[in-house]
Amino acid sequence: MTIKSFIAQLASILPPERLLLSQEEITPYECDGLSILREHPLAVAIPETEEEILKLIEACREHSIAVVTRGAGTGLSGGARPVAGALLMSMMRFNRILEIDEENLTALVEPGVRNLAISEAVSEKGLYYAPDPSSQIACSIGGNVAENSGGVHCLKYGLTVQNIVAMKIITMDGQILSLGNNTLEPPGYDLMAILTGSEGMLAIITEIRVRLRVTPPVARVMLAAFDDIEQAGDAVSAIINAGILPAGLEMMDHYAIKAAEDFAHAGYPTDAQAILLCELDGLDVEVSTCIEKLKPLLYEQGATDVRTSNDDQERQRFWSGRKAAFPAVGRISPDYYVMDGTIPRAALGIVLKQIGEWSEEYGLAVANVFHAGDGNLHPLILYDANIKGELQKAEEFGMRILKLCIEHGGTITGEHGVGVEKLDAMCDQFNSDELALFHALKEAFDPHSLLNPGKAIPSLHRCAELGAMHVHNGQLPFPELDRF
Amino acid sequence: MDISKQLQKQLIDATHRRQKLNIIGNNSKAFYGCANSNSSEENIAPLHVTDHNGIIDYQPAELTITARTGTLLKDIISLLEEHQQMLPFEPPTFNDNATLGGCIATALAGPRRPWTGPVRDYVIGAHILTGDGMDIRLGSKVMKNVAGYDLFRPMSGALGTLGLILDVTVKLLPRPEHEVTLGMMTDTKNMQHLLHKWSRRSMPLSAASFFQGQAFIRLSGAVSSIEDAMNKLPPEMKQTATDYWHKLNEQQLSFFDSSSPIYRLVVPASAPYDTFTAECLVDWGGALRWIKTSLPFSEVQNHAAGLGGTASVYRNGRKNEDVFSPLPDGLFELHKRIKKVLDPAGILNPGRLYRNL
Repeated sequence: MTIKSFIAQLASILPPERLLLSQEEITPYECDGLSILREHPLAVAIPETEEEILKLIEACREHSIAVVTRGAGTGLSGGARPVAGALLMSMMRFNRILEIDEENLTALVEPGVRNLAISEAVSEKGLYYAPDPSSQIACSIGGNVAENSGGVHCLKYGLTVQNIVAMKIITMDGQILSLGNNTLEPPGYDLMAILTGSEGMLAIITEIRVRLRVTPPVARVMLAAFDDIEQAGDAVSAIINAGILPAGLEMMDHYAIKAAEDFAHAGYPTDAQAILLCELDGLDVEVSTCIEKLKPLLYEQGATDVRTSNDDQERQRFWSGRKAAFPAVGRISPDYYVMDGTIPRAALGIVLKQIGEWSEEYGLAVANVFHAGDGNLHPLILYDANIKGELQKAEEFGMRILKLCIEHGGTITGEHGVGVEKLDAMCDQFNSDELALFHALKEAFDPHSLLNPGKAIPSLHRCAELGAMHVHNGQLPFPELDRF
Repeated sequence: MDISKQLQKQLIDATHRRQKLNIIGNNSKAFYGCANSNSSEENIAPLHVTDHNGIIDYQPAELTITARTGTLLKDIISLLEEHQQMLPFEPPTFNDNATLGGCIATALAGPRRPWTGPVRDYVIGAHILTGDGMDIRLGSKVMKNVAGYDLFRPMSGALGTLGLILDVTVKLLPRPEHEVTLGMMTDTKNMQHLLHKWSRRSMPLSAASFFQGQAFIRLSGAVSSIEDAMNKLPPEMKQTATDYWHKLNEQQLSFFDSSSPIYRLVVPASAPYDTFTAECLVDWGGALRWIKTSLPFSEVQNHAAGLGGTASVYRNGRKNEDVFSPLPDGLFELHKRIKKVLDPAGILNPGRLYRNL
């Protein structure tokens, strides 16, 4: 069995236009949204049917060649970055919305359907799909499931895992299995949860049934400006303590406000040290009641100015700066590195202060944009890849931020995933028993480790080399496991 | 009290001796699942966990609580009430005896479930012991966390077969400012029609049930939004006692006073009612239908499948029979492999979820 015979087998399954082999053709697939990590796959396959997938993975099994599944390639952690010598399988031809069930408020879609396309398809019926990662124009729902994507409305509406009810998967041994169903309580273990966020390591997803929601009659955004970023952080806790659950609760620091305002002209107060964007949705009377309650509360918390959107156009304008924050920062810095740690809300002030101190220490500016309601930080570390050593400095700085999140009881990734990028940080968050358990779980699905190998869960060997592995009772767990 | 070290020792010991264990909290749901039927024959030893109890961390502003497995639900609920917060899935407390661990393991959720979500949606971290006594922390204390496989949510509904829950972190919600219960005499068809209509109009519903010719709904939210919603209801819908939901959730309605099998049908809320004659109590706005019938379980299952859902025996099932809906072979094999990852010797609640698991 040679690579040549493998390619020949692929060519017998797919027509030439859906099997990319030349360097020119496969180069566009060399990375996902984290473009600092690149790798060329052996070949790129673009299947259109489940039968083709079954044949492709059979070829992979027979030749012991790994396969990496990819959606739109907008992921930010290298989850869909090719693996050297492996097949890259693009799911973007699985792009049909198969069924909209208005009675039970679900839709059955294929994984290559774009996130926003779902909401667009049901908007006339007054429905929408809630998770809205900022890449929603481009990202695929399959990728959203693989990464358990979030967005700005997670506090009230949950992540992807809370917004899908069923899926069809193909396991590496060629079985087609249905998980979940169109009811509120499918039987058996919650395999939907295990698959969601599994970064393409356990199975290939071919259908997803998503939950639809009724578009709230009214949504309004409050924009509160603060002279002090810690006060803004405390205001977030005060809002939650007041018993209000905003649909979205976002925060931006001075640097991010300025960049976003120059770019999007959202009307942000550029002299503020921080702004909070607080969206309230629901019935008109309910939203008005909340706004009346929040206004004095925000001033009490030290807000210098509080504005409320009066119509949908103004609401969109308030959001436009936040949603354009990443490209806006991209305009003022040659490169930036996005972090994704999550912390308990109470630690917001202290963590931001520490990031500020490190920013001075490294001589690298940081723009902070984050989902404050969820405690999910997105510090953007600005650097210039053309200056020797800056990328390494940015990565080291980022790693320190992630460790800080763990120290405060948080996590290294709230919604972007581990991919390749955060493998080392995983050694800090989990001990060797826990990592060994994850490896054993992968083995239960994919015994020959052919699905996206080397992603998401670091090998015990890698952690040991980093010196970060927490060995239990002086003994390595699962001594029978390979330590590659 | 923290007895995790003692529990760990017991598990390591039991794995060594291949001693099967029945994890027991306050035993308020001993009837649930299928293990009891064969526990005597298979010599399953009890593993008591109630002494592992207490609230570890509760920060109201974080909207999360971390508590040990043996903590009484009623204690958690009353603490949360002091801070105008709640467990979003409204679990039954079984006469105040239910523990947090049992609540998560059975994943039984109350009338609020269709509007707020299932137990698993709110489990954001679990500290467990695997069958062979490994101390594992899954998830975290923050609601957004995608590091590592999500093995914490599957603890909910696994009936203790995937690990011994030491403590869990649960996401909370603010309590609604106000709640009103209303009822009217009608039939299931009309109720279904009304509920569908209201679901598209952002009616602040938090419960809907049908029993003995009467439809009941609960509205939750700000006083102003409830008043507004009440103006949109049919005039025959009148305010009624709010304790209906408590009686329904705690299974104190006359329906549950029975020694014959009680089946639980989980179906799409839009499924018709007239295909089957049986005594029926409707919860979850039609998505959960409690049934009493003399038909055998297999026929009840066929009926549920015809409606696009599944059936399980909740109480008074026959011994030595599976009580939950069977899984296709390939999926069941995968369940076995996953169980083996977390419980290599197969000693944790064997046969409780499925007789061969």
